[in-house]
Amino acid sequence: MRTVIVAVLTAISTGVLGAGVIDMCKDETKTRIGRLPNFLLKLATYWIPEGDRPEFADEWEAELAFILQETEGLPVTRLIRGLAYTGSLLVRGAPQIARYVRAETALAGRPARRKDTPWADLFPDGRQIYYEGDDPDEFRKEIKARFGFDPALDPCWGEEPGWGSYSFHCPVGLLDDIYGGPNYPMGS
Amino acid sequence: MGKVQITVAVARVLREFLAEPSEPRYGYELMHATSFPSGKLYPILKRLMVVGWLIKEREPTAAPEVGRPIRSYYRLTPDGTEAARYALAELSEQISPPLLGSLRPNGGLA
Repeated sequence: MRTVIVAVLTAISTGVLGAGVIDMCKDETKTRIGRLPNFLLKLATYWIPEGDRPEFADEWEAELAFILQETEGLPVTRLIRGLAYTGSLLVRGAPQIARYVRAETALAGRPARRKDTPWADLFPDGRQIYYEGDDPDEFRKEIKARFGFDPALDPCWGEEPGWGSYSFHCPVGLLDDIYGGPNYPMGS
Repeated sequence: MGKVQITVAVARVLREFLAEPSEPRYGYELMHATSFPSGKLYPILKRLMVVGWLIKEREPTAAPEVGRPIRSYYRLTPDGTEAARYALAELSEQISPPLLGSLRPNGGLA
């Protein structure tokens, strides 16, 4: 009799436990499938060069959140729309945008670089750069006052009137302040 | 202001913007309006931004109020509006069918 009771209790416990585990597995599967669009979006953003990635990641994540919010309570529609949005970006949109971003960077004349890489690391011998603003004398005075360096001492400075006349060799120690800084209009 | 190659897809996106030039348009909304998937639409938007026809801005709503991250929208620049109108008019002229013949008044030459 005792054995029978133990067997029945064991069977009930196993059944309850089994049902619980199955429910948990279902929930886990549901959650993981629900996160699939976010995962694909994350992969898509890896196509974009690192410096420009946050701009696109922020935009697409917000758009995906909007899509998912719009289909709250409709898990299948939500998944289909989410996957359509992110899948298309992953296989087509992001690679194309990455190409435009790289081309844009190349056209701007400055090499693609990580935002946290100092210019001095990229050009350890300094760099010949051009001042492209309208007031080279004022620029010269300011650089001299701020950094104790006179670009006009370079033989290329003011060599000939017109385009490219205000070129100078920027020493490596000042590259990040002058060429990399946001204060001066520079070309290279 | 740069130039952009006006393909049929680009023209379709521009037409959506020109319907209400001052209205901001979201990516997802444009996907619906043009029936383009995201992978086709966003590269076009990027191309139009590169040439200065479009600008991208963040919606002014504070994130906690809407319960999701702040979205970005696109808007035609004033120069972009003009360039887009011109480009669409030019495209329309190029693809319009040739005249089948000339007309003249009955019984005369002119």
